Amino acid sequence: MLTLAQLRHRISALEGAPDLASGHPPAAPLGLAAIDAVLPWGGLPAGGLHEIRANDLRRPAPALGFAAFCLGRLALQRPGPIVWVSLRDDLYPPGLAGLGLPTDRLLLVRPARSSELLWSLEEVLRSAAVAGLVGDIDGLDFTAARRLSLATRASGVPALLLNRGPALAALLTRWRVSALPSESLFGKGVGLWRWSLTLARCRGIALVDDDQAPVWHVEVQDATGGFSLVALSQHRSSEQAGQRRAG
Amino acid sequence: MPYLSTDRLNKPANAAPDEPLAVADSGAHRRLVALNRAAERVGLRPGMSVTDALAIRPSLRLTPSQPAEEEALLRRLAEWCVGYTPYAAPDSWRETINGAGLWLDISGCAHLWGGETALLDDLLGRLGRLGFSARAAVADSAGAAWAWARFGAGGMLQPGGQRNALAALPVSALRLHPESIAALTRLGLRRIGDLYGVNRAPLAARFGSAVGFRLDQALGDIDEPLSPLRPIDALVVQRRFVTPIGRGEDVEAAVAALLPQVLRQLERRQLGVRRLLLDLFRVDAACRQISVGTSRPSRDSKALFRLLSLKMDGLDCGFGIESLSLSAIETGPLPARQTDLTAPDSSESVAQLIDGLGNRLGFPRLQRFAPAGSHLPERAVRRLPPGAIPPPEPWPFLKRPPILLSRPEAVAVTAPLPDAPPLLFRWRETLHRVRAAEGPERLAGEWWREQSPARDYYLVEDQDGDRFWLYRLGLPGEFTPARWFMHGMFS
Repeated sequence: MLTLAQLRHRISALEGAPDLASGHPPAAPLGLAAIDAVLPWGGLPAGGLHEIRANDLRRPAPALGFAAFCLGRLALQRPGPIVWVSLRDDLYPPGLAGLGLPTDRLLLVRPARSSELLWSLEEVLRSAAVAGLVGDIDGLDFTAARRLSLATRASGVPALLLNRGPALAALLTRWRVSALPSESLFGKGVGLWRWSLTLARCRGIALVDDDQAPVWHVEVQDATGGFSLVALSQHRSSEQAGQRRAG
Repeated sequence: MPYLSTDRLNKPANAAPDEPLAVADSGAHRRLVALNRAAERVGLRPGMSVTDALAIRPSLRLTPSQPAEEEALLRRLAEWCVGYTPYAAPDSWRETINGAGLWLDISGCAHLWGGETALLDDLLGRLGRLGFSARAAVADSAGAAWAWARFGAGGMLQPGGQRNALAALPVSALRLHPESIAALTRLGLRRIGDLYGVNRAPLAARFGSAVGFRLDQALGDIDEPLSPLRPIDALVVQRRFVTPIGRGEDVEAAVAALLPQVLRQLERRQLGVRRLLLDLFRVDAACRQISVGTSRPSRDSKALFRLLSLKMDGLDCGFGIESLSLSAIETGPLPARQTDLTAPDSSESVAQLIDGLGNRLGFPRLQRFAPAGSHLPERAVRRLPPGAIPPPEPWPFLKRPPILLSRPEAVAVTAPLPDAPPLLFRWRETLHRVRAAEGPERLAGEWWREQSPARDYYLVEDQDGDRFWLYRLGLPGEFTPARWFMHGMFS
């Protein structure tokens, strides 16, 4: 006879979900209790793919900012270099530092051709010495996504894919990001960065359709002791989403 | 190799070797520069004009001369000769004689081939089967071998026998300039032997030191160092196969067997590999080279083998590989260390990751960043090599975008006042209505560089909350209308 817990464990193993018992470091909390409570792992887990995409592909900057923020959170969790793989050359480290990314640990890998991009991503994900990876990609086919997913499961390197193309498969989470108008304290000038984050997919939570995906409105704050997200008004409460969690 | 220029042409076409063939240069007066044996037999000589040659032999086949390709072929052959000795080099003396040459310093290598004669036979036999006619000589000194191969009978010169053997050869066997040879001939000094008794002082006064110098070189009185293709202190391990191998797996297995030998020797010298070169000598006298570099000295055979095998994918073995050699051409100090069996060294595996990526993508494609004391945004970042450890210096406490366009893009802007932030701007075909703006932040050009006008930077937020970094070039009123540029995007 199997207990319910054993059955869950077996299913999650079949699904390829990272397992807290598999020896990987614990998930990296995003630092906002409302979000971390909804994620089944209590944060962004190691050993899986996370897709971050812009709500509107013509406005990619907020998604890039959220990816940089998440990479900074991952870097808090474990030592080693943090790697950013991209075909582009428009990354600006002083600005990344303003999102909490420790740029002295940043290694930028810039393949010359898109055919080398997948290889580079896989090479980085196979190295257990890396604290985290952001891959700036333009879509990936199912086989490629599956390969990366297997590589990150083997090494335990958390992989964030900043996707500018069609949606990916073999994911643990998918985030959609867009900018929100900021509010300045004095009513003049531009305030702190505000984003709308949508958890469009999350393994372990049944999200029937996009309308029911949890959405958070957050502000990035440079608080003492690190960067954090601060919740603004919410469209749907995390409790509601939590109730929809299915085993 | 007296007929290299024509052998090279005959080889692929497989034309009848007894048909006269000549290579002509491309000057105003076209002259023959090289001939094959059949062309020499009908009375043609290098230096003849093309018209004369065609009068003698109307059916002569002419091809234009391609010195660069001959040079490349000679270099490839020299690289292939590294299979005989690490000290192989192409001959660069072309003043007086046609036909290219190769230098091989076989001291200490001949016994591997069963003696000098056997080595010479093997070399000439292989070149002959490949369609290259060649003459070779072995002598005590490089100069004597040069002369004996081109003007003498070729083959072995007994140790110490060069003085007698060279005496009967013409002075042109001494690698002198044509004017010196002509002048010597006018004086009646036609043979090298004629020079033996001559007083050196008047000779030097008349011809410079070259004649005496070349004579001493030929007789072995002055040492003549060759400049080999490879660094001399490279550590080389070689393996020869009884039958040529052609499958990638076999090559990999052979490399896997050679690599520990190299590393063991390096360990004894407390060195680690910085650059490893794998030469694959093919049956058809071609040489494939695979080179891998590491970001710091390494003796990790598993990691190095992985780097090599990444580059061996899709290797063209041709008709088979008859020998291969592995050389550590760059090394660096790496003291022996006690390895910790319990915890893998994480800095070691970071170095492995960098090597793996760098060898495939090129090391300049991997970058780290550090602040570079400049207030201009595009100069505020210093790019460091991947192995460097950036100093933990903070960036200046300023609002900077995470995306900076490498080339600022012009935008059309509506601003109420010359020095006010914009109300509207059009960028990449989209109209943005500005909701909030911050600025200006005035950044003057660096006066010690070129004259460049100051820029006024504004952080603007549009109606959707997207944030941009715009600047106006020049002080208000200096340009009419003011020019605006998009430089970056905030997240």
